[in-house]
Amino acid sequence: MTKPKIDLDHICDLAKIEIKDQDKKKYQKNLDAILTYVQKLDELDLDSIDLETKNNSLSTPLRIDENSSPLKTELSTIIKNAPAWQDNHFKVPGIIGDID
Amino acid sequence: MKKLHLLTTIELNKLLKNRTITCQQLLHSYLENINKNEPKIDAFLEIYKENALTKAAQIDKLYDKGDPLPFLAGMPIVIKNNICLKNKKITCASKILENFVSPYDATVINKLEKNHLIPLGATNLDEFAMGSSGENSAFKITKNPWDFDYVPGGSCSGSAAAVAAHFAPLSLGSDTGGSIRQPAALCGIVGLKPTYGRVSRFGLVAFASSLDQIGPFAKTAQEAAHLLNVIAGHDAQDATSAPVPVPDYAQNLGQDIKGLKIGVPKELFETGIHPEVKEALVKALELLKKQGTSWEIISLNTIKYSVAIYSILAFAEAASNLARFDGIRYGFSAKDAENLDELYKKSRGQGFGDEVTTRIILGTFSLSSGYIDDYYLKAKKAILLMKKEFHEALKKYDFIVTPTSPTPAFKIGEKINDPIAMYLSDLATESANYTGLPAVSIPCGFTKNNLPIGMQIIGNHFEEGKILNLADRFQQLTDYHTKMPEFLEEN
Amino acid sequence: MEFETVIGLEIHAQINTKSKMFCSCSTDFGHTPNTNICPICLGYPGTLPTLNQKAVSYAIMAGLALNCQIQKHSVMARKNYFYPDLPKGYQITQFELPLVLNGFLELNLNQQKNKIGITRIHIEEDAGKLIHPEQTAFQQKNYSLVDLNRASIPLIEIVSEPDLRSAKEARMYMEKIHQLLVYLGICKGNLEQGNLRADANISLRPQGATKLGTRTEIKNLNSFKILEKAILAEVARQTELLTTGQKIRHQTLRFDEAQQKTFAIRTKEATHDYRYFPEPDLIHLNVTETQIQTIKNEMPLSLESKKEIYIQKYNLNEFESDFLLTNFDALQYFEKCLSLNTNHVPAREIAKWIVQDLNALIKESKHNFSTTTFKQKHLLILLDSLQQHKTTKNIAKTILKDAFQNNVSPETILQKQDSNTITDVQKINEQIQIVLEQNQDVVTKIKNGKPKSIDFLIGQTMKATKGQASPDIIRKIITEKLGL
Ligand SMILES: [Mg+2]
Ligand SMILES: [Zn+2]
Repeated sequence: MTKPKIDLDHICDLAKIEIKDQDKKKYQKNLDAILTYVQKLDELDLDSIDLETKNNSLSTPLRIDENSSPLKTELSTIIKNAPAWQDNHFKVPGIIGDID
Repeated sequence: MKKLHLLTTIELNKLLKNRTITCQQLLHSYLENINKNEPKIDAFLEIYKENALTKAAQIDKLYDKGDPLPFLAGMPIVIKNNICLKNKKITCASKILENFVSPYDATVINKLEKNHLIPLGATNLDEFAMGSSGENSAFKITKNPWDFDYVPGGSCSGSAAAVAAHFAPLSLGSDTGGSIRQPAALCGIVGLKPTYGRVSRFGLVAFASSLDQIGPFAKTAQEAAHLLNVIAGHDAQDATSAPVPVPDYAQNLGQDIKGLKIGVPKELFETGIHPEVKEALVKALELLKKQGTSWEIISLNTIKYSVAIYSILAFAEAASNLARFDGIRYGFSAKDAENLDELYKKSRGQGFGDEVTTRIILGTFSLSSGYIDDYYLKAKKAILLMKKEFHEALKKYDFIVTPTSPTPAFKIGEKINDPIAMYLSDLATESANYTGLPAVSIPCGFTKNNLPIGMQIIGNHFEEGKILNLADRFQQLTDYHTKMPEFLEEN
Repeated sequence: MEFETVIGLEIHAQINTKSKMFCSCSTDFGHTPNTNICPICLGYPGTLPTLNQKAVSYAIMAGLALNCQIQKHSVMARKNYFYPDLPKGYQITQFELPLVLNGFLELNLNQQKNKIGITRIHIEEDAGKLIHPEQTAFQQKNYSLVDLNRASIPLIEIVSEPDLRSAKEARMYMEKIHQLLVYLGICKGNLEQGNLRADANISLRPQGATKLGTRTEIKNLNSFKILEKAILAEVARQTELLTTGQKIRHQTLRFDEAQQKTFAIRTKEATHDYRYFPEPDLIHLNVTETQIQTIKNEMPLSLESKKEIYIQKYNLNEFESDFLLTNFDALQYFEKCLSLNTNHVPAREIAKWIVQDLNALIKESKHNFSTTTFKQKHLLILLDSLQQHKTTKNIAKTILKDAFQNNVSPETILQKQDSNTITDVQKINEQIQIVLEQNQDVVTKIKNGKPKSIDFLIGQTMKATKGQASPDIIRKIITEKLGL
């Protein structure tokens, strides 16, 4: 296993989660402790394990293509739950262009 | 007569059927107990009093008509607040969902309705079911009914405590690494994690999708069997739900246990086991031996790696599952965000508690570029190895029996700053989640300080009936499950 | 230095299913924003996906049509990233083990057959739509809006090898894929509705070199013209950079139509770490040989064979044939007409009317061939009476318009017309008399053994009656009058 050290700022950017500066030390300490513990896995010999061999694996069940929606839900609940709603849309801070 | 809320559902069923009591009387008895004792326990996030009273009146009418009703008709049940009920707040004990209202019912809730059970309240939990003590709730800390200074276990802190405190005879929880079984052990009740796929996950707010299972809490294996009858079965809305027929678990109890073989993995006795827990377990095994079973020490080496696997795999799935809480469609949304990136980061940063944040970061790391091979994929391989080991063991033995938790309940605050110590509470339970095997925890003793001790019985896939049968037999030989926390005896 | 252009396309096609990829919501276009949604496609807590069977079989069909190998074992995966149009915080797609691998599409360019490799085809869900109110590309407004009606519409992503060598060839490839998918009913092919979008990967390399140059990716090209123009613009930009000794940066771009230029989309590096892993809510997707065979058997003739039939057997012209074969709804309409055509109206006639008059009327009514209430049966009644000379082409056009707009059968209009014609026989007689008098030379011609010239007299009479009279009746009367 690679040397356990989490680049906290990078991972928080990936996970889109903000940690207050004063809490970073505590997080770093806990995360490093857990990652160190996790190194235990290196004791196991996993070289012979092949993740791709899927003997008798079940196939995912397929849903018949019908547009009867058993989960139709009242728009009012959706609107009530929405933090910001405008002109029939969820409202978010301005963005330029679509990515992906 | 004993107070109604102190009776078992088996006794209550008779009384309801012959109309000695009404559902409303029964409900009032529970409400009274809640009223008096909930402030000591803090098991609930919400009590559905009005709904429950209406429901009880309706079911009374059905009983009065004399139509045959399902066994648990009229029984109150409390529900972990990560299982969706239509038009109810589903908070997962998180600030990020503090005001969230579910527009739909979970499949298990539909099944409760069909069987005329009465949802009585939403129970507290560790935020998003992440924790082993109940201390990670954003709203309150549930206390262990046996000693209010102690944790009830987690993450189903409220569901376990509520049943132990006789606030309801039954409850539902979810189990990802031991969240049903460990608090059941610490609260001295029965908690069952069914085979993966046995109970639909539709409507259960996901923690780790490949491990999560909904399961019952009750005071006896017999009652748990009745509740499993209600919630088990295939559901087309959950692609991982198993198309396997559901036997009548309650009807099939009382089978002979003579000749059954039990394997007890030595790995769980090598590190950090509390001596009283060990003692109670050996005593329990010896008692079962007298009934014609046999037990021997076996080796299941991969168990030692349970917590390491958990810290990678469960957290990785969690990081992805919790990405939907982004402050846009529902839930907490930071008011001071100036752009999209800030909206995400502040909403999530302020909305999630410390433990959830820790797990999201670790899970994101384990899947991130450059690390996925060494972390996520390695954990998946370790699981395959574990499956092989358990498969081999269950060819030789009918059951694998372990202590449910290496220790009895610990003090509130005792482990909160030591994540590894906290995670090790689930060392014995997590393997059943990786392997998908059913496992039940039943009370098997008390410490000198009068704290409950639990024994875990793991069986083969879809053999819930068999482990419940052994548990039921054990409970007929013992009276641990009939003991009550002190405060109940006082009033 | 001369450069060779190297292009690979990723085409996203919305699959023509009734329901979404993972829930039972409708895929219909044009609903009020955020009404065609449910807790599942909104990514509500506790919901789970279930895979649409039709989407899987259409993806297999696309694979078969593109000469690919269908994978018996494939895996759904989560692609994790944050964006407001992505409700769950991840897209369910396929990554390491896609459903379809290794195929090709043959293109005819400059009398030469070119095999364009298909790397893979996988199934995935579409994202929602973002609306940027009153916002130009460079001026950031303080908010955007999210419509999730499109979220979780089934998609196939068809990834080509970098085998395309020019903007024109890339356009041909996209057109051919479009035609094929529409013909097979896999995709409705409405480009204006975003049914088909392409991402283009473009790089240049010195002529003769084998190593690929640094590529850029232009996102979201939603018409053939835009695709071609965007590639031309990007090739020009890259050529300029390379000839002036500058480096190409690996970037994601978008094409600005107004300026005919490509621009980099500013995305952070972090957003490119998608942390793919197998979707735990959907176990593996296994396909059996029987399932593949069933789909094979259900597939219509190949597009080439169909086109040959349309042109050789039905005498459709190239335009009519292409119109039908690239317009799924019109094609269905036409084929239905053929199946109902008991009176043997020539297929060419039917096609002509569908492509021209009916198409115009349907467009005007803001409908399409699948939503229009005008019945195939009614078109056939009209064309049949035209065949039997019970009416004229001009009248038929009016009747079609009348029947279409008032939602009545042409039969009732024809009957009215018939009674009109009968009472007006006297009028026609008078008119014919005038025409004969004015065209004595033609009458002489006919009497001298040129019977074909009668058509001229019929035409003149029709003109005079403003097409109100049936040419059959006119012919009958003239023949009588001239004692032929
Ligand atoms: Mg894609
Ligand atoms: Zn939906």
